[in-house]
Amino acid sequence: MAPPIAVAICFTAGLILRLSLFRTSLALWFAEKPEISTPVTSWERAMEGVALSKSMISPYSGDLFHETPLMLRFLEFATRAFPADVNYLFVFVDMLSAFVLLKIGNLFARYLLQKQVNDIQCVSTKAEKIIIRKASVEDLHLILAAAHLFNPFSVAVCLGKSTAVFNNLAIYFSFLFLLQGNELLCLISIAMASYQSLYPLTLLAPVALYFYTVRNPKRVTSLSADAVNSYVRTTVLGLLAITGLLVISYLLEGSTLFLYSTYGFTLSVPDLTPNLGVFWYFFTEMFEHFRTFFICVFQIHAFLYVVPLSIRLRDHPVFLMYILVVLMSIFKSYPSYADVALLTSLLPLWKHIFSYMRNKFVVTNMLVCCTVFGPILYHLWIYAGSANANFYFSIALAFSSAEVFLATDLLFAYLRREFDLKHGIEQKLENGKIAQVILE
Amino acid sequence: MGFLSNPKQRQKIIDAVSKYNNKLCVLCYVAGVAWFLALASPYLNAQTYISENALLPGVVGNEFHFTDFDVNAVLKELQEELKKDKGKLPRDWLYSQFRMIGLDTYMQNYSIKYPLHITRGQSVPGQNVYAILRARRTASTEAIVMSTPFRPKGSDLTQTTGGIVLMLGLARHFRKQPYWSKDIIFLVTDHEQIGMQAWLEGYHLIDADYIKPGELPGRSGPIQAAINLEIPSGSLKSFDLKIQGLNGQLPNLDLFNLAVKICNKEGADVTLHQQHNVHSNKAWTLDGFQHTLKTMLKMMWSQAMGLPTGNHGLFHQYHIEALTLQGIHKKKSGDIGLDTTGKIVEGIFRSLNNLLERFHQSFFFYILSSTNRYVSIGMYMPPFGLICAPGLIKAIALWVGLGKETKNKEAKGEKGEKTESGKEEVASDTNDQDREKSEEKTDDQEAEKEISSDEEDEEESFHAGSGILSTVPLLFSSTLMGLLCSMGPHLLASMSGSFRMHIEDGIFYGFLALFTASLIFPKMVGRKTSKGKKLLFDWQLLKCIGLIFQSLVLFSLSLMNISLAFFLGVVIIPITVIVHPTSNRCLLWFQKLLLLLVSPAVLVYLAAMVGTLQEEKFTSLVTLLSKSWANLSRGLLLTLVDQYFFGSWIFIVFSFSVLPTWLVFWGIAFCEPT
Repeated sequence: MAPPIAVAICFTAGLILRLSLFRTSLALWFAEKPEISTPVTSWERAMEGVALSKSMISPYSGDLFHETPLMLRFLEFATRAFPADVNYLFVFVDMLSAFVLLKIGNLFARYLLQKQVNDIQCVSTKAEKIIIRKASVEDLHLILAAAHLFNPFSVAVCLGKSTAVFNNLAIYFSFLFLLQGNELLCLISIAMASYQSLYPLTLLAPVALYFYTVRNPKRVTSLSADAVNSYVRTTVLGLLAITGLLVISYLLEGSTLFLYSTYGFTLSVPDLTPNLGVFWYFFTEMFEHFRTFFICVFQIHAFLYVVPLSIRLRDHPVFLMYILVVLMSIFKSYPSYADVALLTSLLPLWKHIFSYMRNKFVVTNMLVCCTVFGPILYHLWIYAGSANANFYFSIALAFSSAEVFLATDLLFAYLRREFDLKHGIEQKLENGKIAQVILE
Repeated sequence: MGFLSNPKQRQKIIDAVSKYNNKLCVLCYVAGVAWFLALASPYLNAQTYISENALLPGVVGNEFHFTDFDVNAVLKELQEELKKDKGKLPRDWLYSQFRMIGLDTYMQNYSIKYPLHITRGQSVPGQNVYAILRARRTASTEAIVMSTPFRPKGSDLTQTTGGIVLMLGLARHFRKQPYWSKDIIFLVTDHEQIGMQAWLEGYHLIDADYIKPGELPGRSGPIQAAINLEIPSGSLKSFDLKIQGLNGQLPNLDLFNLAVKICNKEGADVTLHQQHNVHSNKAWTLDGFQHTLKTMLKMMWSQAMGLPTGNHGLFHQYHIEALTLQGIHKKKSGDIGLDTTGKIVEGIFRSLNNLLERFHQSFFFYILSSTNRYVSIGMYMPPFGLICAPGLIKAIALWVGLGKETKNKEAKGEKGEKTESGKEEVASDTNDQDREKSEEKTDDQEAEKEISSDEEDEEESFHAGSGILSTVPLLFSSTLMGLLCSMGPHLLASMSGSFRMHIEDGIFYGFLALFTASLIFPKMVGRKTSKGKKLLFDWQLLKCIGLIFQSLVLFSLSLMNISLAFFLGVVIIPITVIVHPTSNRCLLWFQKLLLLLVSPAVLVYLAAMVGTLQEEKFTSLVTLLSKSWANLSRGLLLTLVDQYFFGSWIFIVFSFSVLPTWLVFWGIAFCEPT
């Protein structure tokens, strides 16, 4: 275990970092960045909505405000309770996230070791080297917390006051409760996240798989009647939780107008302000009568991969959940750095497979370059007027590609390690040479 | 994606890179530089052309002449007004002149508060006079600006009285014409660029810290283009077109082409940086190439400085295309009268009047090798990429080398790893604490931090002790130096008062001190080893990160200011690629000397030297050195002032990216060789 003093230092440093940066002009600069403030996460729009509802106009009657009704109430309360220092709220949420990540780290280390013990029959005797040892995972929680506290993406998102931090917090909580084995709270967290941004609905799949294995540790197949029963139960519970939230919203709001402004807005992508994703560019060029078709084509990606991945990774629900988080950030209609922050903060969970990854150099460089070039090309396009939309879009596309490479590389590395665990590290071909695995 | 998924194919490429990396580096660099310089030759660049059809340059006959307006009388009147009160400008006279023509005439009162306590907190007042000719055919939805700086009698710069008189004559002529579809704003500014900035800020309702623009009493629509006139009285020999704006931004190539075309049509000589075009017979010869190369380098040098070459340079930041038409007056020779100049300006304005939308055709990123040949971004990027390639190739080679090393070590045994990981953890905590302070304001910093934090996750794949965490102290301290450098001016300026020092000297010597301190810093972060103090870092990893960061900086710069990126790249890349710790003393000292030569301080000094050489003839080395020294300290202050007044980012780039990168390489020279 890492000494608690290290954790304390990490937290204070992260806290001071955020508080001191909030005093610089950097915060305002970040708030204007299209990579941080998308239409669904912009703090300015949120405040506009609060102002509208204060003057008794439904913020959902216009096309400016896209937060959910419960979020609206919460923001109203928050801005009334601390009118001058809303910044602290964001710092608090970030610190809370770090705390949750700390817990996740602890639980996940235990989970990894436990899982290894459970599957010990399948492990080859030649795979001794890659077996996870207690020493190598005992400071995982510290690394996770540090990866969040000093993650430039999370810092930027916090400074830019993106409302996506609440969504991220809910997803962190769902990881936490999943690892704790608390089904109800886990489903409620997922419901909260999906209520906020719709896409986390896909996380119900890994959760259903996970709780089935928790309930039947010695299951034979994952497609028995029992199993299906369990999946259905979890899914229905999760959907019930979401419906509950929607019903509460309806009762508060008194109309279903908010449904279009939030989920309709996310699904039909009417706002084509440039952002990190690929939707805006594609749909500015689209003829109107193809729009519906291509919207469906684009949106289906966010949900489609759940099925094949769940089948392949049915024995590894936590990894499945992480991969779905990555896919969500690639395929959602208004992606922002908040999603990148989420996936980079959780990335150290898989540090035991890093040595199997083959493209970390390429992917890291791609991400770094895109992060730097993005604002420059945006400046050249919008302010200097010397570049154009293609320049910025190329960066957005490269960023998405980097995320795709990351996801595929992680998947490959994970499966490769599983293979090695089963068959030993060094496979020999018939002629005695060392075999090499190729993905083609 | 063979490269990403097929390890066999990839292994081939990687093997090739790691085996031949040195040769490849040399080849890329030499080929890149040669290719870039060769762009000045007509074989590799292209003839300019007007891309925006709406401009229709020179289609209409220019009919301007000074009707019912005695030029010489007005000129005399103006000069007498100027003589009346030295150092003060006859704004009221100008105001009444514009009024008499019948234009909406206004005066803008602004005040300047100099940064860095230069004027001890007192503000300096200034006034701009401007008149708007309302277009008959539209409702003030668009405007074009004709501006000229107003210079008092005692000014060092050439007088612009010709421009002012011409402006009055043109205003009179333009007013009678029925065809204007854009408002024309005649603007006479005070205090050179500061006055222009004040007017632009006032026009666009921007509230700045140092220039208080006051309120503009009259306004027109969005400005589409601007022509700045710097025309002395008397007949001219030729015109010089100045295009470089703030931070090296250039106007749309169409505007430049338009001005060249109209000048040619009126039979006036037009030059770029006072360099004439080569005659078409000579263009394809070696002599011709030397001449165009000189023009191109002059143009690039001026762009690399990032300072506006005239008042036009400030328009660019508001997305307004602008250039300066400077009249060159030489004794005895010259036959271009104010009439012809007027016709040229009229021609340009009539073309601009035809514009249907903002300038968007043609190029924004280009280099000119004469007034009729250009090199576009597509042509100069490949050679620039080649120049930068050595850094990337070396970085990949180092990375591959690191991977192999780790594998070898892993094979040896894991026992050592376990014991070391405990120590590393403690180190990581202190580093994290440190890193928090180094959080910076620029992207580059963010990026660098990200390199460290992203790769921190991968640390496990390295051998502990030589992992990424060992490089953090050096990265941290070099960014800290960058931060100090960027905050320096404020601190120094506030301190120099109490030392009874001149502010210019205070800042200059302060920076010298900071630089000297940064030279010693590897000694301070060093740890004791058996052979004295050496830095115990994984220098290969450090160099890999340094090279990647450097390439990132250069490529980012190349998007904003290709010339700066080119000059920086050409100088620093060969040396940073070579640097590595060695146990050979001579080689080590040689490396350190080379590194010192490309240190930011020496680079800036060299730049000052080139600047001095351009201003005056070379007499002796000693005078050159001393003059450059004086120019350097003045130039430094000017750059700083520009940063506060106009938002120039040259200083920020140097303090946040060039200095830290250089310090990383300087640190590598002090590392323990492996």
